[in-house]
Amino acid sequence: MTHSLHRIGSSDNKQGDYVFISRPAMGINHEGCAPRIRRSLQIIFEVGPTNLGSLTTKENMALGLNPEEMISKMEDNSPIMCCFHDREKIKEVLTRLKEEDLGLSVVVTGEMEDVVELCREVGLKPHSAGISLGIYGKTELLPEEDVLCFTTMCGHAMVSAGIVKQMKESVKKGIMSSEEAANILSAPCLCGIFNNVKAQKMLDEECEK
Amino acid sequence: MKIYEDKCIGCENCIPYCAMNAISMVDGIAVIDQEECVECGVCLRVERCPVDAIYENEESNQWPRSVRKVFSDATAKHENTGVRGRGTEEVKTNDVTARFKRGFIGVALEFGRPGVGTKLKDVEVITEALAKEGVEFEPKNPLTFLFTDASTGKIREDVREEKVLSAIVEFVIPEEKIEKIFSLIQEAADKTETVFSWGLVARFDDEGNLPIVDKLEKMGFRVPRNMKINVGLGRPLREE
Repeated sequence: MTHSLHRIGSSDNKQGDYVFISRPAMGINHEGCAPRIRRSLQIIFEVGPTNLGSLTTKENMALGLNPEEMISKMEDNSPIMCCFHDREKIKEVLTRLKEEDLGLSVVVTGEMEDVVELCREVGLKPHSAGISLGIYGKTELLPEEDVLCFTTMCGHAMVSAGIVKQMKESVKKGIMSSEEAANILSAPCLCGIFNNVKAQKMLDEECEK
Repeated sequence: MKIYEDKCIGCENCIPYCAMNAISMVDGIAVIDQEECVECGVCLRVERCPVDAIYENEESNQWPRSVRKVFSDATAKHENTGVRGRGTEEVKTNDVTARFKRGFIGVALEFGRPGVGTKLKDVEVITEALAKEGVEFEPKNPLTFLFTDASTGKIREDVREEKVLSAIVEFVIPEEKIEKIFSLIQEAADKTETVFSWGLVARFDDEGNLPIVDKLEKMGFRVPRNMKINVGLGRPLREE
């Protein structure tokens, strides 16, 4: 229920981080909707997502996903999952989807006021919201917040604290660039909602400290 | 997941990728702790092993260990729901399904998240209390299939000890029950052996406001501004 919801971090580093998920409702409007899923993906690729992935084809942009091949493999129940760091791009995607009225549901994860304003600019009426109340229980088992900022960008926890720590260390020591490290971190998140541009920015900020 | 002893060259490349910290070096080769491994498959998929020593053993797909994979490997499809992932469509398609209507709140308690993991029996810390209050668990959520009887909130004996990356306790309550149910959840937080991420689903009003936020803040919750918003593009649109 919470795939893109619980992203940890201050409001500052969430700017430039929009998760986009679209899918049909199983049993209601999913039958025969593969062409509409493909059309939505064409629009998204034309605009240019920061990252995009697929659990159907088990790949993401960090793993070298080929858009045309991926689009051709979409099924009636394939979700579309991607992220953007550029507000204008996600606005363009929403605008074009509204114009074409493809009928697939869309959720956008980001700062509430910002997403509601995006909806207003595009002429959409926000319907419902997923709200995070945070993490409870034995929080002493968690890694530090500056690690969680990276790991929680993959809602399925495919990006481990261990690889985040290793990449941070590698960038600090100059073994690899922040861009290379961000791409390595985004690879295990097959949904493609790990925002590698945001990750790169956070790695750079750490090096400046 | 397992590692062929005779193939492993001890490079340690796989170790940092494990979200459960289940891989360690023993006598110069990498070994996966089978108790801690949740079968998420990341170590295999990232292809960092230079000698292809990591493999999925037969037991990973046999009951009851197979539940680890369906609750941990995002690419695994649940037999019961036909949907990949650990949850449901929830807010993603609420404009079409109207699963969460005005006057009602969807609740999702994702045990083990983020990145800590949970034994399936650990969810009972809240499910038994909720069941006594008459809460009905979401029938399409994969966890609901693992209760001996959803009206008790008790997890089946054969899967209790299985460890997974996360499992989501999901249900809907009328808004007037929010204080009572949320107080039970807060009590469970003090007793659990793991962590859980707490999420809600609520409707916007016609003016584009989220009245639930004020209510939560009055109850003492700090409500993060980062939210997952259904923008109302689904058709046919259901408004009730």
